[in-house]
Formats: sequence, C-alpha cells, structure tokens
Amino acid sequence: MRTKFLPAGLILVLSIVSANCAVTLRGSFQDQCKTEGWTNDQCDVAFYYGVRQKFAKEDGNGGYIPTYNALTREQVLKIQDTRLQELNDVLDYKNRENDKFLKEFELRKYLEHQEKIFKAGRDRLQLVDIHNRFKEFMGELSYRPGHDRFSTSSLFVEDLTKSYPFTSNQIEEARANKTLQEIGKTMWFSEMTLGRKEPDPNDPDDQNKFIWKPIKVGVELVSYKVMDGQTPKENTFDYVEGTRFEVADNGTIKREKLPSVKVFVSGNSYSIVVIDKDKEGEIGFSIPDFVDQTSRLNSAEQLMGQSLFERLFYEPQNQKRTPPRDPPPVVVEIAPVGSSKIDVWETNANGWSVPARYKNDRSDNYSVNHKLKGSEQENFDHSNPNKQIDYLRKMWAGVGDGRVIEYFRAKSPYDQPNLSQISIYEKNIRLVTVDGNVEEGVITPNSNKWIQDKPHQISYTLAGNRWMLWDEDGDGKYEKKRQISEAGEK
Amino acid sequence: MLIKKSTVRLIFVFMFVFVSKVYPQSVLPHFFPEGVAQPSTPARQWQEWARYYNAARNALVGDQDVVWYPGFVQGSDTIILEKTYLGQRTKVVFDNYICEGKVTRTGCDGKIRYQSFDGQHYITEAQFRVVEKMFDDFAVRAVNDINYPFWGDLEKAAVAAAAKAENVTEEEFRKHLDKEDPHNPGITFRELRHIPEKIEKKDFIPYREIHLGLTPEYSSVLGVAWLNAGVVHYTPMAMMLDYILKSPEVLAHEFVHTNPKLQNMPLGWGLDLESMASIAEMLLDNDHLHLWRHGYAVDFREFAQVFCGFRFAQARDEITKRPAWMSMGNVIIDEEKLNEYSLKLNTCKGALRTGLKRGVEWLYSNPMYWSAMNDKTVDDNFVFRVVMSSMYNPTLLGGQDSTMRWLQAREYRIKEMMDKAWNESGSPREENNGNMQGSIFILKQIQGIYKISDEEVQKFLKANKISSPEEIVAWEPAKLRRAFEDFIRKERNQNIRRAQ
Repeated sequence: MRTKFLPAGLILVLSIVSANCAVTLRGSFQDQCKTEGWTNDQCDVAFYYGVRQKFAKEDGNGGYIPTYNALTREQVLKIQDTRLQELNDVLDYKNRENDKFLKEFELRKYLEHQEKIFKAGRDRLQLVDIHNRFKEFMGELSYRPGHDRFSTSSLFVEDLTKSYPFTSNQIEEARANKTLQEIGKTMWFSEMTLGRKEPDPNDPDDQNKFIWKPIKVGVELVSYKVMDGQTPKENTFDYVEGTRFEVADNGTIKREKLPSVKVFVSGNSYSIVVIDKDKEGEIGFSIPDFVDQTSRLNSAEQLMGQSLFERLFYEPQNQKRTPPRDPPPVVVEIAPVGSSKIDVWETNANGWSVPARYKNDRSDNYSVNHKLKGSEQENFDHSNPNKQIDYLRKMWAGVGDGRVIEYFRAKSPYDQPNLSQISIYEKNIRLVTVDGNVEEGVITPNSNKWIQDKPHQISYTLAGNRWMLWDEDGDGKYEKKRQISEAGEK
Repeated sequence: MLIKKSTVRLIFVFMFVFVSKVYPQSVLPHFFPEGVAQPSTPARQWQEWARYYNAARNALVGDQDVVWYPGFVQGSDTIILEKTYLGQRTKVVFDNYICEGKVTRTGCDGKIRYQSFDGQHYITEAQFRVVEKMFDDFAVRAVNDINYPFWGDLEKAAVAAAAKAENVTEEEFRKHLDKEDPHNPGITFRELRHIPEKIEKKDFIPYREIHLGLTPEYSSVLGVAWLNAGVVHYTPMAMMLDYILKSPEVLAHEFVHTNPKLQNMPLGWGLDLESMASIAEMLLDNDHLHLWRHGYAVDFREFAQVFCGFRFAQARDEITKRPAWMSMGNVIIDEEKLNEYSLKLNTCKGALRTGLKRGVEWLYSNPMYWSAMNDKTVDDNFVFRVVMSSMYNPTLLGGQDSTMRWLQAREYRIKEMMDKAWNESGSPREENNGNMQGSIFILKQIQGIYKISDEEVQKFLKANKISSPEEIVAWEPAKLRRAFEDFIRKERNQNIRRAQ
C-alpha cells in the first residue's frame, strides 16, 4: 500500500520553505553582516561568538553553561500551545489516515497521555502569569503580562497552592480570627438533553448529520462577609467561593473537593474573579486558569451574568472527540430495476400518530386546498370539463410548529371525473359539474358531505425532518410511516 | 511552521544515499556484487562505495527515472523471523524472500525465491542464512558499538545538567523527579519536564518489525523509521554500505529514531531528529563518507569549519583537481589529499562528538526550553550552536589567536547585531513573502486538484532540482503551475503506458 506520509526529504524542503516565512536568527545576523562588509568566514565566527555572548554564561570553572533565561514565559507557552494543537489534530478521528496510524500501532492512549502532560505543563506555565495578574489586581504587584522570564525551577514547584496562593490577607486574617461568616448560598443548576450540537462522528463530512450531547452542570456559590460583631450596614459580600457539583439520577449532590471560582473585592470599585475551568479528575484541577477584574459585584447572583461564568463549564478538547462506529461490513448487492418491490415505508401494526398536538379546542385552525388528478403533469389541461379531485388537504396552523397537513379523499359523488370548476377559499368550497350544476358549502371540522371522515395520510415536521403517515387499508390506523421531502410535498 | 504539520510529523526518517576483515564472496549476502571489500583508506572507501552502488543499483534501487512501481506485496508466504535482540523481541521481515513451502518461525521448509528490480531466482538456504546472520550481527552491533556508547548515560547526564542549572544537588533533584505531580495525578515531574528515563540497550530495537527489503517508492532511501511505531525499513543497499564502513551505521541511525525515550511524538516535532540520529554514527572515525557530503551532516560541517578551521570547499576543490566539466561523469580525485584531509577531519570529529554529546545532555535536561528556543530562532539545532560556541573558540580566521583577536575587537558590535537578530527572529519575513506564499498556495492547490500524492510532489521537486527554499520562492506562481501540470501530465502518461 502506498503510504500517505511524506518522506523526510519533502518535509525538509517544505519545512524550510515554510520556515522561510519567519526571520531566522541566523538570517537576520547574516543580513547585518553584509552591511558590515564582512566575509562569510568572518560572519560565521561572529555569529557563534554572538551566540555564546547572549545565550551562555560562565560557570565559574572556566567553562560556559546555558543561561536558560533568554525566553519569556509567553514564548515557552506558545510552543506548549503548538504541541497541544498538533496533538489535537493528530488525535482527531476525522483525520482518517492519522486515525489509521494510531489504530495500527495502538498509539491513541499514549498520545492522549502526552496531551495530558503538555496540558499539565501548560497550566503550570500559565499559572505563574495568572498569579502575577491576580497580585496586580489586588494591588500587591506591578506587572507586565507575559514579559517576565521563563524559569524552569519556579515552574516545577511541587505545591503550587503554597507558591502561588490565590488569597487575600484580609480574608485569611478574618478566617483565622473567625470573623469571616457565611451570609448566603446560591445554587445554580442546568440540565439540557439537547445541550450541544456536534458533527456526527460516523459521518463527519456530512454537514447535515449531527448529534446532540447532553449538558448537566451546576455550581454552589457561598458568599462570605467579614463581621466585626456589629450589624453590618450593607449585605454585600467580601468574598465568594463557588464549587461545581453534579446531581446524580437519584438526586444526590456530589460537590468537587475544591472551589473552582473565587471572587474577591478590591477597593470599592472592583471585584476580582478567579476561575479553574478544569473539573475534578481532569488535568489542571486546582490550578486556576483565568483571572479578571470586573466592576464591583454586590451579590453572587451577579456573577452568573458575567461572561467569565461560562468558563466554569468549559468542555475539554479530548471530551469532544467521539470515535466513529465501525463501518458496516463490505457486501455486494445488485438490484436490477423492477426486480423487486421497494418498500420505503416503516410499518407499525399498532399505528403511528402525530407526536404533538396541532388542533385547537374547536379543531378549526385549518384552511383547505386541493389537488386535481394529473395536475402534476406539465401538459395538464385546465380547460378540461371532466376534472377529478385527487385529494383535499386540511392545512393546520397556529398550534405547535409541526406544520401538519391532513390528506382526505372526496366523498361520492364529488370524487367523479365530471367537474368543470373547483374553487376553494379558506374552508369554503364551490364545485361546478360538467352538466352545469353548482354546489357550494363549507368543509367543517366534523363529518361533512365533502370529504371522508378521516384523512388517509397525514404529514408533519419533527426535529427538522418531514414525515408522512399513511392509513393503507382505511381502518383508521396509520400503520405506515416514511420520511419525505417538504419541498416535494408542496 | 510546517505545512500539514500534524500529519507529516507523525513520521520520520530516512537516510538518503549520497554520492557516496574482507569476507569471501560465499559468506557475503547474495545480492552484493562480486568483490565487495572493506577498504581501509578514506579514498578507497569513497571509490569502492561509488563502484558498488553503481554495480548494484539496477537490482537494488531500480530505475530512478521510473516514476511508479507496483511495489512488493507482503504475503503469508513472505519469510518473517521472530527474533530477540538485547532482550527485545521483534520480527524481521524479509520482504523480498518468498517461501515456496511452509513459513516457520526460523525460516522456510521449502525453496526460497528472491526477487529484486533485476529479476527473480531461487537461493539456497545457506545463502539466506548469510543474510540473516549478517543482519543479526548488525542489529546487535548497531546498539552495542554505536548507539549505546553515545546515548547510554544520557539520563544521568541530563539530570546532572538540569540539577546544575537549578542550583540543586543531583540527589535533591532526583528526589523530586519521579514524584507524582500532586495537582495532576498520574503524571510525574519527569514527564512534565520531558527528561527521558534511563536508556537501555533494548530500547533501540524496534519493538514490532524490522524490514529488510527494497523500497520501490523511495529509491534513494537507505532506511526509514516511524516515530513510536516500532517499525524500521532497512534496505539491502544500506546493508552493503554498512558492511563497507565496518559499522552498521544506517541501522544505528534508524534505531535512534525508533527509540521512544529519545525520539517520540510530540516532543520530536520541535527538534531536528535527523541531526540527532546522525551524531553517533556519522562521526565515527572509520566513516570517511558522511561528514564530507551528507545532507544531515550540514551543521556538523559548519561546526568543523568554524571550530576546527577545516575549509570543506577548499579541501574538495583540491581533491578534485580537474574541472567538473571534464569529468565525463567519472570523477578523478587526488587520493593522497583525500586520505590526508579525512584523517585530519578525524581529529575534529572527536571534538564534535564531545561537543554534541554535551549538546544532547543540555537538550534532554530541558527539552521544553530548547524546543521554544528552536521556535524563536527558527533553527531546530540551536542547542548545538550554543554548546559548540560554549565549548570551543572559533579558529576559522587563521587560528585561535587571530580569530579571537578579530572577534574581541568587534565584541560590542557583534552583541548589538545578535540582540537585533534575536528581536527579529521568529517574526514574519517581508521580502519575497508574496511570491513565496503564492508559490506554495499554487503547489498545494494543484496537489488538491489533481489528487497528487506527496510522493509525486517529491518527484517534481527532484526532477526540477529544487533543493532549497530560495529556488521555490524564485518561481513565479504561474510558471510553477505550468511546470507542475506538465510534469504530472508526463508522469501520468508514463504510468498509463506502463499499465498497458
């Protein structure tokens, strides 16, 4: 089998071409050399001398070691993000060739673990920046985001909560001397069966196919106030802690072990919101991911109106991956046209029904139209005096959104091919026979002389799909059902 | 950034043919041309390799002008042997050996049919065993003699370097290293830091398959490996080269790629894996071929030039005395000069090995930092430039003293230039950008329209002798499109004729 993987030679060429989009350290140095009038040899030695000057330092023993402080944390973060993006691409089931490679060599689990490692590293790296921003918002530090130096040792401290605490002295002191008191509790919970729409993993290229993933999220927000024994003048909080929870099917609530959101007060005008987007059990849980300053929040409920709040219920990339089901077995089926009857109907002996209500209490929310036999043909002769009704339709509207249409056969004698004129408006009908007889009346909700008492077909819309029910044998049960095109029905 | 990075980088790695104890013929593989020896002088090594390659290429490489071969299709009658090398179980697949009997774990109980681009014939079991025995020997020696001596103590050295950089003792550092991250259960600090585990010999042996067979799709390739897949392809031509060099260098190179502690996804996506796989083998004293010309050794040559003062261009010029247009394809060399310069280079190789060994120790002590440095400098071998400049003074401008005097007189200016280069590096290049993006866009567009495989793109680049980015950038997009379409038309016609 021909491999789809590029040979290294091509990788080399294309990567050089691509890399050429960016200025290289060597290229920039070389360009400057030219303006100095130096020879290539002089440029080469100058480049390496400059590399030593900038990226190494004396080790005290006459040698050199790398400085390891050339990069900002933002630059290291970028490479972590790049790796994570690449891993996500490789792990994406939609990339069939990659998926095949991972399957053949059983590498998916390994790469998912690598993804966790890089994410954990990224979270630690980002934490330092978030912590600095937090301290700045709290007025304890002046800080330029992303511009401080990358430091390996500060990144891999074992207890991050000690090295990078997201606390305020005022709250911690109040907690210690027991003046921090709970003043309110807010529970927020949302459960949606049709939570999030995603491409159908079995047919990701078909934009019309999708699946719904349920969403079930909740958070408990506890508000605290520092109380000094006096009755407070305001009931605003000084601190809020929020903990995500899940509700089991039996109704029990399971809270995460640590809070995932904290709200502090900074001065009179601002609130500082710290959020850990990762759920318990996921990589990064307990390490905050976002910090932001907002105008002063006076109650925990106000937090829910903030865009930051949505970040509490972030869906990780790896949970968005849904493996496709195994394809159907490869078979050979030959079907000469006309050799067998094709049954496009789905049968239910007990009968199908329209799943939602569509009639009002008086059952009069319909209008009527009709179709003549043969009128679908291009050369249909409208002047023919012997026209025949194919069916009459009650078009229901105003209740539900199923756009229900009932199809009725005409009662005798109006079902004969002897009509020279047929006109219907709303519920009113007027017929003229070939003999010149005129009949007028109303197609009422109940039994009448114009149409059969029950429709032989009913069509309706459900979840974006159009369906047709059919009472094949006229027994009043709609034992057949099939999907139809709404455009074709018109 | 790489085009289609996530896909192309699943892969890697090749050794391309570059141009360029004596056993009796009966104990050499049957596909070796007659008279293959193991020359002891550099010049003879060059001459003989070129001769053997030319003698064997029709059978082992195929006609390089042919754009498509049907490929050899492995079957249940292909001989596949189960082996254990240095404690690692694997399978050796003899792609071009068909068993006309029952395939057993140790061989074939019937006749063995061998096929190549030169035809097919039966070989005796004894002939097959010669190939098997040489392969067994090479697999073990690739690790024992080449890879393990260079990489074996990497973990200890990387940990020592990391501890030193963080000003803690190695003992303290180790205590922390294998602890689980309390914030991320299931992940150790070693994993977070990407410091490899202790290297064992068996790590170099591909855990799934080693194919000894021809590679119709990549005629100029000697070996191929896929990261993390535990699969290596090793060609008969590579076996001949390794025999001539007295060391299984190509196999050792591929075994570095398939050692998951050294090269893996995704860490390898930010490093120059080819250079790293080449250090242990291309700089061996008895190898007088690779450092002179191989593409993967281009940075080694630069280091040799800057830090050993060895001028390759001048040396090559002196070795080939007559102008190229007089050669008629038969290169005439000054053997004495080639011998002399190759032996001089061996002194430099020692310094390169020492420097680059420390380079890999630095690299694996903090891969995250060096990956980011590579990204910022747009240079996947940046750690080697830092280490070489840290360990050696440049000598290119007439020796150490005169070179250092020249540099120190310009110290401040060099610092300014490096600061500016650092600030600029990694930012988008403006010049030629439009033309380049246009050319690449056209290339990708045509690839999509005509359903052209990546291999065909490679053939196009090769046919048009495009080997550098500047050459692609120089193409006008419209001209590139015409050339590509002409090439594909011609190639498809050839395939149609071949199919008929």
